[in-house]
Order: sequence, then structure tokens, then C-alpha cells
Amino acid sequence: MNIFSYTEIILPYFYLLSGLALIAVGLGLFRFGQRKNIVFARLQILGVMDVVCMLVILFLGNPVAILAALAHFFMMPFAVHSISWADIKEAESDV
Amino acid sequence: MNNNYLLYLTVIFIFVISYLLHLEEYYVYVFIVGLAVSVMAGLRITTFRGVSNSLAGAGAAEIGVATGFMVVGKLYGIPYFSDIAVYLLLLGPIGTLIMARFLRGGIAE
Repeated sequence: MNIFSYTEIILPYFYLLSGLALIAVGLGLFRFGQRKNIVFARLQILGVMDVVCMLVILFLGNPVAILAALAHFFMMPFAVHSISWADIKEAESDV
Repeated sequence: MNNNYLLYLTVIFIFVISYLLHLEEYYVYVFIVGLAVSVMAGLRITTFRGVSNSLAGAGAAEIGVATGFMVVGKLYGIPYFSDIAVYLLLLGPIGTLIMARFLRGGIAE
């Protein structure tokens, strides 16, 4: 009886909750058009989607995919902050 | 806070009805529909103006497609889908990092 036998019990309910959360993410990404500083809001919504998908991959129990998901979890904040920094630099160079 | 009672009631209603009808094995299809919606939203963000929008949308589409590969591979018993998911998970943020660093002019100096 390891931890994955517990995760298989709660996995369907987690599927339902994360499916509803991902539908909300999709609607939130669809809803807003172009406005000021919208890129940071999109990156925040992307962070929510990242954590939800990474938790699903952790619950599925494939060890190599768990390691890759942890690597993604530690690399994605650097990538997102780099995107926002590039957006700020782009706005400065436009002015 | 004020107008969210309808949302809470809808979620509680879905939980109670599906617990009474034993629909646990069909919840994965709700998750796949949510993944499809969010991946389509990411691809729409990719077409917007500005390179930062494109990078954010590509990141959303990448993690959604990787999770979809994992879930579908476990659902239908296809073993090599997890390898494609691992490739996407590892190399997606690295490519985003390198492209964003090019954009802000960090490497050229």
C-alpha cells in the first residue's frame, strides 16, 4: 500500500475539479482582448494551468514523467519572468 | 463573494448527482474537454499581436498537450505517449527561456 493507491482513489474527483478549472482557464484566456498590461494577467493564468496540469501528471504515477514535471515546475517561473521582462523591454524600446 | 452562489450550487449539484449515479470513470472526459478548451485558448493567444503574447500562448498549449498525451496514454494503454510528454515537458520551458532572452537582448551583448 503505497501513496499511489491513495491517489488512484481521489484521481477521478481530481479529474472533475481540474477539468472545471481548465474550462475556467480557457474562458479567462478567451475573454480579454488587447489592453494595457494584459500579458502579465495571461502569464498568471498560464501559471494556474501549469500547476493544475503538473498535479495531474504527479497523480498519474509514471516516475520519469514525475521527474519531468518537477523539472518543468522549477523551470517555468524562470521562463515566465523572462517573458515579462522581455515585454517590459519591448514596451520601453517602443517609446 | 456576492454573486457566486449559483456557481457553488452548480458544482455541488454535479458532485452529488455523479456520486449517486456512480459516474467516476467518466470524469476523465470532463478533464479532456477542459484541456481542449484551454489548448484552443492558448492557440488563440498565440495569434495575437506582440511576441510576448505568442510565447505565453505557446507555453499554455505545450503544457496542455503534454498532459493530454499522459492522460490519453494511460486511458488507452499506449506506452510511448509518456515519452512524447516528457520531451514536451523538458524542452518547452527551455525554448521559451532562450527565445525570451533573445528578445530582451541578453545574448547579443
